[in-house]
Amino acid sequence: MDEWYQKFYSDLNIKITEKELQIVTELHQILLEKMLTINKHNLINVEPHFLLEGCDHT
Amino acid sequence: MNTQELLSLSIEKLAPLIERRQVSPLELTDLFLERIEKLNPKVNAYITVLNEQARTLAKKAEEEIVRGDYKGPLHGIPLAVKDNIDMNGIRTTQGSKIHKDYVPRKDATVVTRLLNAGMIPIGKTNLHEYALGVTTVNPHYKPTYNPWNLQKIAGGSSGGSAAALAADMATAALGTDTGGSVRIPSACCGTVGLKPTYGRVHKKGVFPLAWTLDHVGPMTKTVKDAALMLQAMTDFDLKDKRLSDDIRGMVIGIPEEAYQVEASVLVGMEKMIKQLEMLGAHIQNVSIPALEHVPYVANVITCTEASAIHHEQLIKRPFDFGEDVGTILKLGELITGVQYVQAQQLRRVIHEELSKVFHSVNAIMTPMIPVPAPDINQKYVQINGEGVDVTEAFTLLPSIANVAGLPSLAMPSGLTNSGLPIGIQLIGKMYDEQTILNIGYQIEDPQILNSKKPLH
Repeated sequence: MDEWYQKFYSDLNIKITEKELQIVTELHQILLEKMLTINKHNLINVEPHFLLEGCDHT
Repeated sequence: MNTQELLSLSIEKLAPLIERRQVSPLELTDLFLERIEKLNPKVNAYITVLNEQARTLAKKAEEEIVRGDYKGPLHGIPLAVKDNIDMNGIRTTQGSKIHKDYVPRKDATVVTRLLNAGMIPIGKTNLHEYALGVTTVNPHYKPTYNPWNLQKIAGGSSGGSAAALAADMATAALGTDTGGSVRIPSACCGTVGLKPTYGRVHKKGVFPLAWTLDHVGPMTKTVKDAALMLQAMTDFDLKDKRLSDDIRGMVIGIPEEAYQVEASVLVGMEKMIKQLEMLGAHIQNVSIPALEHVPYVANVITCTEASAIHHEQLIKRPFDFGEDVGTILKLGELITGVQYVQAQQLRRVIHEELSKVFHSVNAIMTPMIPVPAPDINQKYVQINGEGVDVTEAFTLLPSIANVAGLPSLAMPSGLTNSGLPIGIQLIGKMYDEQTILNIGYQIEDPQILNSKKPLH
């Protein structure tokens, strides 16, 4: 698995230390696990709620 | 009135003295600059102090007031500006090594508005690097220390602004808030912070952290001051030009999902609940199951958008970021488009559940932070016997309002036995800052911090 992450950052030309790689791998796995639980929700008809206004609404 | 009293006054109390020419803006500015010179080496609230510029503006304000050209309650009031908000010709570091020499050529819109109202910027305040963190333990400019206990964090990311207020090194301040960055330090330092509705305050000239979650907000000593600042920062007008003195019949929702907090924090919540009931408001327990998704949604969106912003520098200067910030930005590169869009979809689910709750309540109240400020460099806090990562623990409750875009007011709810401030937040409906300001104004108690002032 480490190799996959190392190659990912290498392909992007982003240098990463061993310590960072370890933390990033752990956190990414947590996000992927959470994603699996989200897939159980029926989001197909839910429109994303992007908030991008950049000015006053008063 | 002695110097100490003058430095600790709110805008509301200072303004009439300035208008009646009983307090000179120049003398007031000098008092603050002296206090900053004395205390900043201990607290490290400011990265840059604007001695010359502040004195020039204060002199101008004084001349205007003497000739009868009084602009209103912010005229001549000293202001601290977070160092990710542009000021023309003033170094604006974003708390980073990469932007250490960045000098903007324009004021941020919000700064222009406050300058037009006559405020006097006296310095640029320390922050968590690029506003991406909750501690303001900044590796490039050193940590900001909590004035209530210099061993503790001031909270973040607008830690310098909150510490400056708590230590009477400013009368008012500006902060930014993507996952609680105005309100977390306000709670840690015993001050007031308002995150307005998304889009209420113009963000031009404010360095982004995550565009769809970013907000700019006032940080002050009282709720009334936050309202005064918000009016100048936007075209927001208080109904009948005032905060209401009647909250009878209002319904305040307390989400059952928001109780994973330390016992001392609950004591503060209960104090506020009693106060609300005494004033004739009703408390209603509510359930908002979608709140369980808030941390995931906030993390995915913040990491992804922040990584997009810093992508180029991440390739060119990967080790010029602090370790924590660099790691989060690298994590953001891994998040897929599907994950990001799903997070924005879940955001709608959360927003719609909250909207339904607002059919039966006027505001929602939760604790602001689950425990008081931890030690500098402490990685985990104990909540009900469980060790929780500081960032995770401190963003859990504030992020609700960022994800939903709703206004949220942070205010003190007391001191713990160890003498550290704790706080609550009041969340309102979209564009309904008036209601949470009204409620906050009514339950605000100047004695809640036991009349103690840190570092006096």
